[in-house]
Formats: sequence, C-alpha cells, structure tokens
Amino acid sequence: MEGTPPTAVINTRALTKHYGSVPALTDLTLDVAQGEIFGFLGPNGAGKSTMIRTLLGFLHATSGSATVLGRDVATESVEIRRLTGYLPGGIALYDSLNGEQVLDYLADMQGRTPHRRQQLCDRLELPTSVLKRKVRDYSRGMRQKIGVVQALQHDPELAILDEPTEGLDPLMQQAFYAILDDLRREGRTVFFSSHVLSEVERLCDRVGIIRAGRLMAIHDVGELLARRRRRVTLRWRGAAPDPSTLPGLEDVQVDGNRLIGTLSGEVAGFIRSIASPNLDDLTIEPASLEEAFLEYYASDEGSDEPQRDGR
Amino acid sequence: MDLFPNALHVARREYLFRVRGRAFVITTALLALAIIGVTMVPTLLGALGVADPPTVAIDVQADDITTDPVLTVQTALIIGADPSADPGSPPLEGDRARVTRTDDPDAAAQSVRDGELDALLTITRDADDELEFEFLGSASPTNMTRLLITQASAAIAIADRLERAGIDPRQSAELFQPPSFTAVPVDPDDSRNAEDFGGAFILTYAVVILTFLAILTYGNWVAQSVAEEKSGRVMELLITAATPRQLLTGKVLGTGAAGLTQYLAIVVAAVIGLVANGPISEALGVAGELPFSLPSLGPVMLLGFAAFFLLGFLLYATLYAAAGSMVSRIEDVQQAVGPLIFLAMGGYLASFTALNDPDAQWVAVLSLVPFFSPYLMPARMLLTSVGIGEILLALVLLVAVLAAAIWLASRIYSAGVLMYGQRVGIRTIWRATRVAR
Repeated sequence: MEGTPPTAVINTRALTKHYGSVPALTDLTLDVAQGEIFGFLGPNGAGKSTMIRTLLGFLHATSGSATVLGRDVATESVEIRRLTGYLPGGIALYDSLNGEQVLDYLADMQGRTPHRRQQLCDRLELPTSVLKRKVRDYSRGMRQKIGVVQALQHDPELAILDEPTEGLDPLMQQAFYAILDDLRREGRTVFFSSHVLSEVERLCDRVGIIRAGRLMAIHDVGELLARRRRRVTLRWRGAAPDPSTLPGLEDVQVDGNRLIGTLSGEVAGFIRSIASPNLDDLTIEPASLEEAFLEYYASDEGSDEPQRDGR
Repeated sequence: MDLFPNALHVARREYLFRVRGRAFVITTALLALAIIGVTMVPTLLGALGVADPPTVAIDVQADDITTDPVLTVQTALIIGADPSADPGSPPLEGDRARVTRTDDPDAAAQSVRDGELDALLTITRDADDELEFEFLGSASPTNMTRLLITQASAAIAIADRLERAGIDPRQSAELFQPPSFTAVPVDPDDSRNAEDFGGAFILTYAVVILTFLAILTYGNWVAQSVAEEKSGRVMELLITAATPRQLLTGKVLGTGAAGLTQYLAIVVAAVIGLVANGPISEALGVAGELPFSLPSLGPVMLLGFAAFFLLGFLLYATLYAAAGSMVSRIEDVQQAVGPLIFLAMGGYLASFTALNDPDAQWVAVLSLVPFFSPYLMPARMLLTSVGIGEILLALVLLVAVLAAAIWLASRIYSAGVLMYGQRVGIRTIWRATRVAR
C-alpha cells in the first residue's frame, strides 16, 4: 500500500475532515486503481459520505490531500465532477418532472451522450411507461433507480456511488450487481460505499473498512474469502471420528454423532478427510465477510476505542 | 467551463417550471384582472356617482359684498377638480359643482348633517368690517372641498378689502393678472412643457414603484428556489453536472424571465385598461378619462428604461440567489435577504426624495451608483435633462458591478449550496473562491 501507483484514479493522503472540533475523517490514506471496483464499507455515521463529498469537492478537507482522476480535490473539483458519475446518498429529484425529463436534464448538463441509458433502464426494469410518470409518484426504489441511471448514463471514467443499493428490492439489487459486472468488464472504475457486507463481497475487488472516521483496513476480497473461517456441521451414522483426523478443523464440539467446528484455510484436504460412506449430513455455512470482519475487529477492538459516531 | 449552454438548460427548466405552475397562472390572471380593475376606478366611480361634484350651500349674511361668492366658490371647485376646465364658462357645464345660495342656514346645516349637502359656508362681517367665513362640513384638513373653499374664501376676502380700500373691481382684476413668465430649459432640445410634466411625474412614480416591486417580488422567487433546491438536496445532483456559476446564472435568468413574463402580462393589462378607459367612460356617459396626459417617450428613453430595469433586476436577483444559497431552510430565506431589501429600499426612497429636486447634486451622483441608478437614472431622465454621456456611464458602472456580483455570488453560492446546517462565513466563502469557476 506504499506509494502511488501511476494509474491511481483516487488517491488520498492523510485526509482529515473535522466538523468544528468533531473529527469525521482521520488520516485517511487510500488508493483506488484504474479499473477497480472498490467497496467502502462501514456502519452508518462512520464517515463514508463525508469521504465521498470531500472527494467531489463539496467539503473542504481540514488537512491532508486527495486527487481524483489526477486532479486536486481542493482546486480542481469542478473538473472532477465533470468527469465523474455521482449518486448521492438519499437521492432527491425534481418532483414536478417525469423520470425521463430528469435524466434528459442531467444528461444535457453532463454534456455527454447518455449512450448507456437504454442498457441501464433495461437492466433496472425502467420501462418507458415508468419514465413518463412524474417523479412525485415514484417509490423510494424507483427514485434510486433513476439515481443510478443518471450517475452512469453518460459512461463516466469514474463512478462514485453512495450506498447504491439502498432502497432497491433484492431483485433490483441483483440487477445492479449485473451492471457493476458490465462496468468491470469494460474496465471502468467504481468507488461505492455500503454497509451491506454481502454485496461488497459479491462485487468488489478490494474493500476498505472505515469506522469512526478511520480506515481500519484495506483487503483484497479474494484473499479475505480464502482466509476466512467456515462453520461446519457434520453427522455420521454411528459415532463421530476423532476430530484430530480432520485437518483444519478447530473449536470442535462433539455431540454424539454430531460434530460442529470451524474450518479455516484450504477446503480440499478437509473434504477428502471426511469422505466416508458413514457421513450422513454435511453443512458448511456460507461464512460471510461479516464473520471475517468481526474476527478482524475482535483482535484490535480493545486497543482502538472508536467513537461510535463520526459526525 | 463555458457558461453556456448549461446555464440555458437550467434557465429553461426554471422558466418552464415556474410558468407552468398552477400558482403562477392563477396569480398572473388575478393580478392582470386587478390592474384592469384599478385603471377602471375613475370610470367606475363616475358610473356609480361616487365622484359626483360637491354640493355646497352658501349663507351670505354680509350682504354688502360686491363679488359673487357663489361664482367664486364654484370656479374654485371646478378648477380644483379639473385644471383644464375653462374658468370663463363655469356654472352651466354639466353642473359640475353645485353651489347654491341659501337663506335658511339652519335647514342647510341640517342637510349637511344628513349628508344631503357636502358643506355649508357662512359669510359674516365682524366688528372690524373684516369678512368671517365658517365652514361646516368634513373636518379633515385634507378634504379637497374644504381646501378649495379656503382658497375661494381668501380670494373673496381680498377682493372685499380692495373694494373697501377704494380700488374698483376692474383695477383689482388688473392687479391679479398673472405676469408673463417663461421657463427656458438649460438643454435647448428639452421641449417639454408644464403639461408634460404632470404626466412625467406620474410616470416616474410608476417606473420607480414597478422597479422596486419587481426586485422585491422576483428577487424573492430566486432566493426561494435556490433554498428549495438546497433543502431538498437536489442540489447535490445538479452541482455534479453543472458548475455553480452555470447554475446561478441559469437560475437568475430562468426565474427572472418567468417573473418578467408575469410582469409583462400585468403591464399589458394596465395599458389595455388605460386605453379602454376613455371609450368605456364615454359609452357610459361619465367623466372617467385620465386627468393627465402621458409624455411621449422617444426610443432612446424607452431603451434606457429597459436597460436600467433589466440590469438592475439582474444585479439584485444575482445577490438574492447568493443569499438564498446561504441558508439551509426555506424559513430562513427572509432573514438572509434582509440586507438586500434595505439596499433596494434605499434607492426606492431616495428617488421619491429626488422627485422634489431632480437637479440636485446628490441625485446626480447617486444616479450613477449601481445599486441606486436603476431607480434614480430613469427618474432623472423623465424629470430633467440628462446628458447621454451620464446615462452611458451609469450603464457601464451597472454592468461592471453586475459582473462583479456574479463573480462574488457564484462563490458564495458554491460555498453555500452544499453546506447543510453549517453557517456560511467569510472564511468558507474565501475558501470556495479557490475552487469555483
């Protein structure tokens, strides 16, 4: 994580923002590479939106520096905003216009052909009949869809999305994931914030974890998934075998013919070791990043007493 | 980034949003109807008989006076109500002021109390042979009938004193012959005469009041709509797609254009009302025509008025937008625009003072100062002769200050629009100056 890669699209150095005397961001140093899908993860009030708004020049950092697309956020934010697609958290639109008019209006001002719009509307199931309705009649989810479309319709080099799946139903969340997959294939850079671990796990190349304004860690998602522990439940016909014959299994509890434990590291060896005609049932719980993170935090929770609220 | 076309996109949305709104349509229609109603007031009053000439009874107990008090009072009342009336042929024409002599003062006094008569004037002679006048009627010192009768009484008393001093009526008529008096304007091209002046005076009032109302009303629209976007957080989307300067300019132009649309509708309605007034009152057979004639205005004058009005409006509207961007809640808008209202009011009040002395030095100086020139320069142009050089200087200064205001306002705006719940201080604005373009 040392040094600035030449292709860094977002680059912050010791970025700090205080609201009066209340710290919202502290010493945040971070690089996002060209073509990367970067997840910015943290609980509500951790400083995610403050970070995003500082990157777009809406807020001025108290100290530290940041560049986006090679431009300084303190002096070139106008240019940054022109090149970036932005979805604000808790989006507001003009109630008196219809969806299409909002998109046209913003596209006119973005100054680039909205050639992705059709594709995005198809993915998010925004048919013309919906686009012709006034925004004031839209549900929360429909507004959010319009927000996603306007942020990406002009195919910006960089998309900064503040909690993009907020308000979308599970089906539409999947549709949004598919959109990010498209962007990833085309080498676009996306920086998005979330407090939902599973979606970060599903979408991101790397994830930064923020808490009380401090960047706790930056992880490669693949690596994290490989390292994490899984909860395993086994049941045999007859007595359970000696746990020591099962490689990688820890914290084992034996309950008659049932055996519960945590598996970490490589899976293949463990599977070979349990292959037996007596194995009656096997559950490997879809261990989530959540557990991985909890585990991560558990180790340094005491040393770094966080302020719960970043504001 | 270029100001256009984004500013025009913004302006177009603002304009259509305003003009298509139900509130706008209804308000405009009501105001237009109201203004037509106002222009019809003289005709309506005539038709309803409210504007009937006053009825006055005169009880002459000093029966040795040689002048006819009835004729004098009648003439005063007619000329006072209508200066263009010919004093030579007063009493018969439409019986415009009904003045009668009475021998029964008690009955006449009762009629005044009953409202059948407007006033009773009693003329007596005191111990020193001086005439005494007693007026029974409205006690209000500004009552027109009372004022005119006071003047007539003075004339009767003077004629009576001259009579007693041995000057015969023919001589005294010569005594009161007005002298020959010619006003030569400094500017030889200034061909306006006294009759034009009355109209010019009224037109000046109209121009000043209309400018003031436009600034206050539509400036407020601009501030409100900025605050609305900010409090509704639509601003976050807009500010990503367009620059603060584009948004500000578009907002001022769009909302301003909508305001001027309403304005134009009202002015057109007023003109229709004024023009239609004559024929209508004629058809009704009542006196309803305007008591003055508007001065004819050359194209330079009209262009000048339009330029001062538009530039002045833009200047104030730009600052109103900046003020609107400094608050987070719509309720706080009034507070933020307070200083601007004072500024606008200053020019407004100054121009009323200037009406009495349009050639004063301070008026000339103030009419060049940008925040006041939109009021004072048109007023001076109407009331006195102003060199074209002075007008152009005032315009150039106005444009320069407008440019500076846009510069400053877009900085306040970019600092202000996204700071929710934060006070926008000088420091924030200064920091924003490094960023905004």
